[in-house]
Amino acid sequence: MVSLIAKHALSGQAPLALQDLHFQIEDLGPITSIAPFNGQESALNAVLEAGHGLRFPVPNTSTQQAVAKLLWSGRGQAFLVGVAPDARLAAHAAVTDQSDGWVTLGLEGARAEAVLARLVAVDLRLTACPVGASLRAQVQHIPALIHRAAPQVFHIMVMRSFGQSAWHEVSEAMRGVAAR
Amino acid sequence: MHCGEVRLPGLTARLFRISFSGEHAYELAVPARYGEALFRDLCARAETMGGCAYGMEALNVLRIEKGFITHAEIHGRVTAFDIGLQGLMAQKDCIGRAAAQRPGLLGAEREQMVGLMPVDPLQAISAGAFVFAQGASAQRDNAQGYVTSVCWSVTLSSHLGLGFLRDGRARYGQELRLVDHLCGVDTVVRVVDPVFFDKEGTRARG
Repeated sequence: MVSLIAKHALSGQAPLALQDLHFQIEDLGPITSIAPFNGQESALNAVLEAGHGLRFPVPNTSTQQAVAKLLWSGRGQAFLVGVAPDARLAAHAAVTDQSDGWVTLGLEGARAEAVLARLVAVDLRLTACPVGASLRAQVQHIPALIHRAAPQVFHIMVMRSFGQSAWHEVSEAMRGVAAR
Repeated sequence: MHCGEVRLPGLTARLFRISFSGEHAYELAVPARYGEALFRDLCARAETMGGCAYGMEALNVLRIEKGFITHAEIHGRVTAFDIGLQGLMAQKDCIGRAAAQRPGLLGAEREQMVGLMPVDPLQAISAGAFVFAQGASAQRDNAQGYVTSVCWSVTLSSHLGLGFLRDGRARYGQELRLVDHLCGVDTVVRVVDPVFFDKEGTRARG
């Protein structure tokens, strides 16, 4: 065994461009779930500030410092993406490597909202879903974490085993929007 | 049942000493991106050494030979006592221990897990069959137990079954009538220890 070959869940999938819409696999780097222990929120925030310059996000939001982001990902839980976690976090929270458990798909374009409106039963217009928003919703029937990275950029995170299905759903919706 | 971090070339993995088959076995957990490559590599190594990947059917045969339970046995109506694991609760308190010792959940009245071997080893038996005293008519109110899992054991050259039998652990050696009306099976089986093979567990402990 010289070394093991790493293979992405969507290995070989080329980006898809339709008019102004772009869809591609994103590499966010390490993904670590952080779930504060009871009563440890303040202590955790102190370590997050010291180690990453981040604060734990309130629901449906995220915090960012350079490439490091902390995406709210459910009740009492956030995903630290882009950087390896500070070891001191583990004293105050359940810290779990999730890097290979998720596939992140990036959808970009002026009509990205229109594409996702076909798949997601949440108002994703900029007024209701500002840049930085991070929310749990279904993409068709696929549980997802949706993060608005920029006014016209969404990151759609799904569990690895749903990656192919999510790619299919979003790309079909793109074709529908592009055909109008 | 130990586990720990191990180094593979270029990555950290977790190794678990765990066996579902009764054989000397490990589970190796790697980041998902390396899963396919690891599987292919291990298969190639196993084949070079004369082994191979084995599937669920083979695993099922191995675990029946070893008397290991699966969902077929722990179907929601059995207790740790019934499957012979009461010893796990003997020394220390644990959640559910008090409930497990309530009247009616222990003792000879319980249907306890046993092994069943057809007196004619080539006679197939079926999961879902019921067990009766020899000479008793095969009807509901005479049933003394039932079969949960069956297989053909190449190792023992016999069909084998796991099942539950009233006061079964006290009845090893008895011969009983096994009937499956749906499959048309009506034969005689011998009650035995549910661990058919390697009772000492020397293979798993390598």
